[in-house]
Amino acid sequence: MNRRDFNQLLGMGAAGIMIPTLPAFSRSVSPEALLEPGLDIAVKKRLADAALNAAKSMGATYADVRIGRYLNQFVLTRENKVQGIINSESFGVGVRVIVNGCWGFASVGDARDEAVVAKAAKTAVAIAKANARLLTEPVQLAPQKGYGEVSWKAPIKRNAFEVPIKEKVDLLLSCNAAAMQNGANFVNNVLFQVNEQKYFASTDGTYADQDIHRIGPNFTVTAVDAQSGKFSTRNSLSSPMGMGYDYLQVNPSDKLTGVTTRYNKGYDMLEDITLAAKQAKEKLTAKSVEAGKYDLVLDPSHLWLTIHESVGHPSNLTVY
Amino acid sequence: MAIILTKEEAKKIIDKVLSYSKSDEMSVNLSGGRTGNIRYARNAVSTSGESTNLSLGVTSVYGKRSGTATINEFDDVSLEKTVRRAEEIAKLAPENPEYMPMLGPQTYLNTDPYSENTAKMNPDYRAQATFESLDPCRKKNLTAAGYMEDSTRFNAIGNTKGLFAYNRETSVEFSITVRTADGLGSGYATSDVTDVSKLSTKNSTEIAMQKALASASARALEPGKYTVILEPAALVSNVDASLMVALVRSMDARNADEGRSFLSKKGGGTRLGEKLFDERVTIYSDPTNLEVPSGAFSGDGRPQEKITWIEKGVVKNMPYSRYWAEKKGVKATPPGGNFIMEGGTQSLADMIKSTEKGILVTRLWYIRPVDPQTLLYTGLTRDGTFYIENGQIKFPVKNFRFNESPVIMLNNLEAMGKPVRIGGNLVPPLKIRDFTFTSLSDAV
Repeated sequence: MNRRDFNQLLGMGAAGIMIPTLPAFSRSVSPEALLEPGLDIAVKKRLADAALNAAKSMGATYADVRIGRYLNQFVLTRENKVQGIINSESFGVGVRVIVNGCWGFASVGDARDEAVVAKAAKTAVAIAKANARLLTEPVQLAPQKGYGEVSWKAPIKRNAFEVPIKEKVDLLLSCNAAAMQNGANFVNNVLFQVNEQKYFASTDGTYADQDIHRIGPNFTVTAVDAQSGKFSTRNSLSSPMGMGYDYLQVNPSDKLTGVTTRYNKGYDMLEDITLAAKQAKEKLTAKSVEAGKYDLVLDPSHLWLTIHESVGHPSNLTVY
Repeated sequence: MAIILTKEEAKKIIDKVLSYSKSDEMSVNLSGGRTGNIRYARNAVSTSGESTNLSLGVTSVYGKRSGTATINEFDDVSLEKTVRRAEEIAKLAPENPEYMPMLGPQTYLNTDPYSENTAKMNPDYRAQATFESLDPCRKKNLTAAGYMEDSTRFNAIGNTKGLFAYNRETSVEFSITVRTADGLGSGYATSDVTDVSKLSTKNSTEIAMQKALASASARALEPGKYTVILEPAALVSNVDASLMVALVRSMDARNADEGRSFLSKKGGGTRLGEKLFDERVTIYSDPTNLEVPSGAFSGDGRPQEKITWIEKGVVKNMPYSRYWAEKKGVKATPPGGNFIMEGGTQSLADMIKSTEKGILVTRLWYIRPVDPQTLLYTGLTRDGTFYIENGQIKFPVKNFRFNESPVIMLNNLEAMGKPVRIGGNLVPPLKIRDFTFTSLSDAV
């Protein structure tokens, strides 16, 4: 899921439309398919070597391969209804090469044998060669030593994909009911879970297998005053986390209490949604702030974005 | 197997899969495609590639329970296994009380959003198109950053109630930002087409170059309310939020009925039939428009037809989900695949000429909602903002932050130019009075 899709999913508050767009090229699958193991590591290495060797034989001075199996699950609810459960799987192999000082890339979805990935390498080489005529300065990579065969797994305590759907649905619907009891007219509540199984190999001699998990609970509570024609919303104060289902474990030491309670590594959805409903209702009759100059206290829900834009992007050389 | 299947090839596979069904209802979705891209920055190609994919999805339904399984192998055994699996999942799924039975056969308009020229694009074509953009910038000591993405894809759906629909589509999107060597001037242009032979990366680049050179020594103007000319790229974007897309996408009937939309009426109900905009504002969707053709059916198989959303400032139609339309007893009109805003005949140059005092805005970006009730948005100008006096561009101005709602903006309409294609839609440049700029930005 790229940044735009992710923002689309999380930026859904405004109109309460929460059906996400599936990431490009992903397919719907059954919940059980999300637990099936991906390709055996020996198979991944064989595919990777086929691509790297094909690239080198066609003149690549550098090549890398990414074999990705991305699993997503969305549990979509509103008020007392489950609107849908979307399970999707996206599998593909991408090959990146430098030929004649120029980058080229190609990826294929159905890449379960060596011939297919070698063909992708060939396309990547053809692209690099076509673009080489535009070159003024060849790409020069900083020296990178290979790491050999290594692997990493996200230190999750409970794999979200192993949690029965019923447990997730029960949590979301009980939270929605609490919101409705506390002044909300509408609730859209989505649980978003990701497992990215990423394999990377390069001609520098690295073969890295990674198993990455993320979870993102996210709701929007809406309060409506039909008489005045006004409505107001309040979104959840959760964050997308590199964790498993353990993020939804209520843990008092992960709470920062105050006017509004905030959460670290344990998110209390029931507590947050109850307060959100009350606050959405309060906002309906709240007086607007007078425009002018003020001293501000920036909550982390604001400050993270300021740091992301003003420090993050400039320091990673993003050209926007 | 080819990546772009013909209608006949797709139907043959879908019919075979449908023949395995044992559930109450079943639908099959078959889609595939290829995308190609080339990206450059600091006058050099940085990344370039191609991706292909083909897959088939089966959704089986028992009552109001549905289950989906997918596969990318196409032998008979694999296909039948996928159907059995979808059926097993459906039996275990929670009931969706809002589930709507599948549609039967539909009649679709003949739309043609496909071009063989685009389908045939290859790495050499992309390299040449990039050369035509890079070369003039290099020669003038300007710095270019650009991106071109082409896509060729097909999508077919069929179900056990007899519905079958097939669409194939191509598109190319190109955008270019040019900066002066000192980094103080910046210009932008974008172009998107169905048929790549209608794309000129050279022409778009020339516009961005002119804007970069002309915007280098920007002066600061006081923030406040100004008459502005918003170019189409300041109204519509596919990569960021934008004022006109926000308006068109906020017209959903259910949200309005539920009291949480700018189209909700005080005391309940919707503002359908009310005049909310200047009488020159007419916005409609039409999949058969030759300049912006789009697919003939929506994701759930409903036909896309010509439909007017806003006519002479009056809200005429709102999109409905099938569930909500049935509940309300109205036609289930899907959201459009494109939108077309009627305009005038003036060119951008004519619009500048007829402006006594105003600001020309090339582009708005980083647009975020402030108040969903009034569709109030905030964002910034960028890549070419100019002061106009007595019908002429006088000097470049520093960028502004704005606070504005498309609803208010389309009431403060002064003039409309000739519509142009942008992001698959047709939108005219607009001259708007009292557009609200709230503060200055030093960003280029």
